[in-house]
Amino acid sequence: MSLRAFHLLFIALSIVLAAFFAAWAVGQYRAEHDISYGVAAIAGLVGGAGLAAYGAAFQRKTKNL
Amino acid sequence: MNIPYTVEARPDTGLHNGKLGIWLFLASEVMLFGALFSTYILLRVGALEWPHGELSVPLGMINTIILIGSSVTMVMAWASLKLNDWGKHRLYLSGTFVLAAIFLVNKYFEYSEHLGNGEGPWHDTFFAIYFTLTGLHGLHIVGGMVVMAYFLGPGAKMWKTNPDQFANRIEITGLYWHFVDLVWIFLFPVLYLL
Repeated sequence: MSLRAFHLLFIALSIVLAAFFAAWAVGQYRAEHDISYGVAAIAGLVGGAGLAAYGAAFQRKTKNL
Repeated sequence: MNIPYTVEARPDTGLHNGKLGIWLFLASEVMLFGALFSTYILLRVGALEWPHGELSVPLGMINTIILIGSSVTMVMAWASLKLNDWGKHRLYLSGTFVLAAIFLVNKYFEYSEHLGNGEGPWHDTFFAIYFTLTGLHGLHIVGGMVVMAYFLGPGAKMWKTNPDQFANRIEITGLYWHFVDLVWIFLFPVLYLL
């Protein structure tokens, strides 16, 4: 496996982590009603979307490497 | 003596020497960390109570962002070499080194706080496995930094004599670095969130 492929795999797993973090934060918010967990959940979702956009751009731009 | 397959792929494996070597090494690393993760699961399943909220989630999240960022700079350092941009390669590799250093500084503060509160590895099973897993991971970060420092320093001269082999070496360093980052992607939820 090349570094390019391993990087894409890593970004994919990071997106899974971001989604998991957002789900964890939602769970914490429901239990404790602390707004900081709500912010963390949104940050997790935004981070995951950002990583997905980066991964797609990386795949497109490094096709010929 | 001329060593074959340092740049071109060996016909039977489809890999050059360095890439075959790093994947064999990473396979042994998977077994090492796999054994420790298995130990964690057995300890946790067998425990009557397991502590929650002992670690700082914001600090762990910041370190996760730092390591994801360092994987991006690392792959860019390699891509820059492929595009013959030596200046950008140096910039991105230095960036990776700095991010690794920031990760360790954060870890130092985290360790200091716990040790200051008497929460060392002797405190309970949770902190024993926490210090074992994160300590071993931290040592791998230091190892990666040593390799990066070499390629930023004396090892950089190979770019002038054998650029293809140098690019292969940076790719191999990148594969190792991504593995170290990947271990953290598993460590963070297991230790900080669950």
